[in-house]
Amino acid sequence: MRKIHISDSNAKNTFVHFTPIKSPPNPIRAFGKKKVFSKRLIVSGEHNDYENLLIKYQKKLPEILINEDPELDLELIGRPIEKTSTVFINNKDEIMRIAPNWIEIIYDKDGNQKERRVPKDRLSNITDDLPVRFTKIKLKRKDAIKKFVFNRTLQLWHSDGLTFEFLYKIAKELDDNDEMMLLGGGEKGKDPLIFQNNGLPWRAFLEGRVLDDSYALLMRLSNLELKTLG
Amino acid sequence: MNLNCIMAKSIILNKNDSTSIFQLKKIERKKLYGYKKRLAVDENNNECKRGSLTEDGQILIKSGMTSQGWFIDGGKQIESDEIGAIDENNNELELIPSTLGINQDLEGPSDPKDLLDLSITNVYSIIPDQISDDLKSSLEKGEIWKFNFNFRSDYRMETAYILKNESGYFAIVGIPFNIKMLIPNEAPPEDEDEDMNDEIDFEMF
Repeated sequence: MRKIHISDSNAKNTFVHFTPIKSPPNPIRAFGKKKVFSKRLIVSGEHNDYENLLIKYQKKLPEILINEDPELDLELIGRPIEKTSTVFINNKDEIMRIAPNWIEIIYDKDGNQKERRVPKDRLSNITDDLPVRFTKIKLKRKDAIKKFVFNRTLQLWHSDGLTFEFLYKIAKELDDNDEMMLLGGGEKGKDPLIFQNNGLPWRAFLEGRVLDDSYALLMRLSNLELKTLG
Repeated sequence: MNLNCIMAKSIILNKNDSTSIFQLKKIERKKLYGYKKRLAVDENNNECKRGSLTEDGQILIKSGMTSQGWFIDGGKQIESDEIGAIDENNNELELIPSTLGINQDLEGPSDPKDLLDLSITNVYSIIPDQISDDLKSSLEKGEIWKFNFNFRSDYRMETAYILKNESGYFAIVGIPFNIKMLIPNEAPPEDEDEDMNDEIDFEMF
């Protein structure tokens, strides 16, 4: 269970649990009332694909395909695949014996290549040392839903009486004002939140709900603005 | 009004007996912000393909060499078109047809909290072919409205909200979820596997 270090607008800070709110489960695939499960099966052999057959038979391939079924490797077809290891294959069609190098290609929104570079690691900024901080940016709920697509939700969770009071108070203030507050990470407390190394940066807004003695303090995450495609 | 034949891929919405018709265009992050991809290369900077090697080291599996088969306990293989769905209580579910081209009643105006409590599956920019004055004026006031939506036939109906901002009209689609209200002596949350990662880069601000 992960914890997050959070600091409020008075620089009062603590560690609290957070947990993702999961999507409702999908309907279960079934045959009648019996659950079905999937298996990955081999449907063609390594040397029986179109490219290899074309190299081997050239112009005779159509006729051989009709008469001899060279694409079918009867020893392999239908064999279930269970555990496998990832390998990399070079342009000579050989398994690489040493780890490959990596490059990162950046594309613009039209799919044009902008840059090729050595991959840059993006480190998580959810750490014990630096708290996630409140910013001064607040939006009414009705405005927030028109600016951002909130596609993930995390729920902050108290672990004792003190953290209950801390989170309840924040939730109540936000709920009473019908507001959502932007959180920031990093040294200056202004960066989007990155929950794991090389993970996506998320804009995070706190939203609160209060009902009698109960509360919900939710971190609404967005990586998409609500705007039309140019 | 039944416009099935001529508006097969439109969203058709009814509010107070007035019909509005929208064309839809899916919004994806990579089309708004671009994206990045990591490629494996060999020592000469030639691109390498990814493959899988079976546990016994005997078979090299390349892209396109496998397919998915469906089975039930006992090993009987099931054809894709024989597969249906059940809910968590083992009740068989009916296939619900696509809502595109079929009139849908709007419910609302909805509370913004209802939209926040939606597990979003898709976001569409929607372009009005025809919009009633009533709906237009309500959306311009900032109201949001709920309707049933299924892009294609499925075993559950999704929920969509229509709204407008300075950029245009949008339909946000998903499945509603419930928020748990926490009490002082609430038990700690269960450990959950979480995956916050994704492949695509973006620059929002």
